[in-house]
Amino acid sequence: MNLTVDHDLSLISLILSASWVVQGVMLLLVVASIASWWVIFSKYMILRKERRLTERFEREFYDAVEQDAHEALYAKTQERKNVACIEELFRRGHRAHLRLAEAVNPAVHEEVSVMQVLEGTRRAMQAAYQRELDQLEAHLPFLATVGSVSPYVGLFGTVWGIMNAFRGLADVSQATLAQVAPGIAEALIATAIGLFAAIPAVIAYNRFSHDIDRLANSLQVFMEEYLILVQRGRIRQTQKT
Amino acid sequence: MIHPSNSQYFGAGAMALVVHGLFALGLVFSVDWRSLPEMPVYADLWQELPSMPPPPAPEPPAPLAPPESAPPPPQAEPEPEISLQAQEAERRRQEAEQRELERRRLLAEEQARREAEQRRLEAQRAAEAARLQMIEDYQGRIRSKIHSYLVLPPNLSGNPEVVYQVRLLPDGEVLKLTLVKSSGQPAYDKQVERAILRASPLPLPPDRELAAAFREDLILKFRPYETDGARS
Repeated sequence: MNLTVDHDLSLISLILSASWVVQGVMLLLVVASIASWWVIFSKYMILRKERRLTERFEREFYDAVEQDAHEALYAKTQERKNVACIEELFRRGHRAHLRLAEAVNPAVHEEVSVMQVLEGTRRAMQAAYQRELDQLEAHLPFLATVGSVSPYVGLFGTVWGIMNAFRGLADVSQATLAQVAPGIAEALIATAIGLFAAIPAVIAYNRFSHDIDRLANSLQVFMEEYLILVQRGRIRQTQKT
Repeated sequence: MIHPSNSQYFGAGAMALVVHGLFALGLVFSVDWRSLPEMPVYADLWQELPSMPPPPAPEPPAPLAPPESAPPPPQAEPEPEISLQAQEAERRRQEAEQRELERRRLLAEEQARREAEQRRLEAQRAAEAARLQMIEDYQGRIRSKIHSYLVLPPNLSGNPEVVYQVRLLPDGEVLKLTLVKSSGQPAYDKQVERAILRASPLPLPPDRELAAAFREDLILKFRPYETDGARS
């Protein structure tokens, strides 16, 4: 038999002729893909800017320490509106340090030692660090979820579509490949969309968590260095005696 | 943490949409999973060249202009008039004879031509008749072959006619089968379709042109209870 059947296998007709379950799965996956790309783009822009501002602030900070101008730097950071994590950390830490130093002014409370000032400053900075990191990592779990689950969702759509395609064979006595091929093709599109959503999400998730780890590292380093400087007395309340 | 401004936030959303739009466009326009039936390639093997109309006979060279008889032979001596007259008469007589011969020859030719024409027409008519006969014959063969495979569905009502258009390969195998007019009873349509496919290859006349006509456009009409069948 040399019968050729011409099916219209263009993408749109395949999607339109799929069963509603498969169409629902495809829609879900497309929405998930768009959302994950949204997260990817906005996260990428934020992290890029964050890195740039972190480097800038580190330079500013060490210059200020060299010139003993940390008060001026503090005043400058207080004026800024949208600041990087590291600046926020500095703001919180310095404020806590100033308050505690005032409180432990040996003239007022002699029993409060330098160690307690350090401890209080560290706690304030640690709290700020946790909060900032939390904000940085927001939406990353969404990327992880899309990356790990959407292949399965796509697979579900495919299995469902293939089940339908084979059930259609029950009615005919002479089964040919041409009768199941469109159904299988349209079902496989669901897997393709699932993979299309998953792959960028996984790549972006790995990339972003690496970037955030590096940022967190630099924050930790900054915190330690600030505390060391406080301990060595390089940074102290200069206005009060 | 840096908080994105509103424009950045929605800019990212727009970029996500753009990425998907581009991807969808790329898919729709570059990947086309349409499967068109491939037209078979076939070659005809010829034992000898087909009879071509003979090349037009080479034009007889245009008759050269009769040698100008302008310069009459200078007759030196004025010969006696009588002999001249006699010569004149003789020449006229000969000319008349020649004309008569010419006329007869033309008549004979005309006759021959008419007879040839007659024969050619007769041959043509005979060929035409043979051709019709052959068409009828092969239509009958195709019909009966398909009918031999046709199993009527049990719940057939009436005497519906189903029309299929069939394209054949040179060896008579069914290449493409399209339903032109349904009988209104899908079961019967299906049975006829199956019968046509099972009857493949269909018999084709040995004559090349006729077979080509059959292959190109064969319309098969089927009624369950009469053998009114093929028309090419």
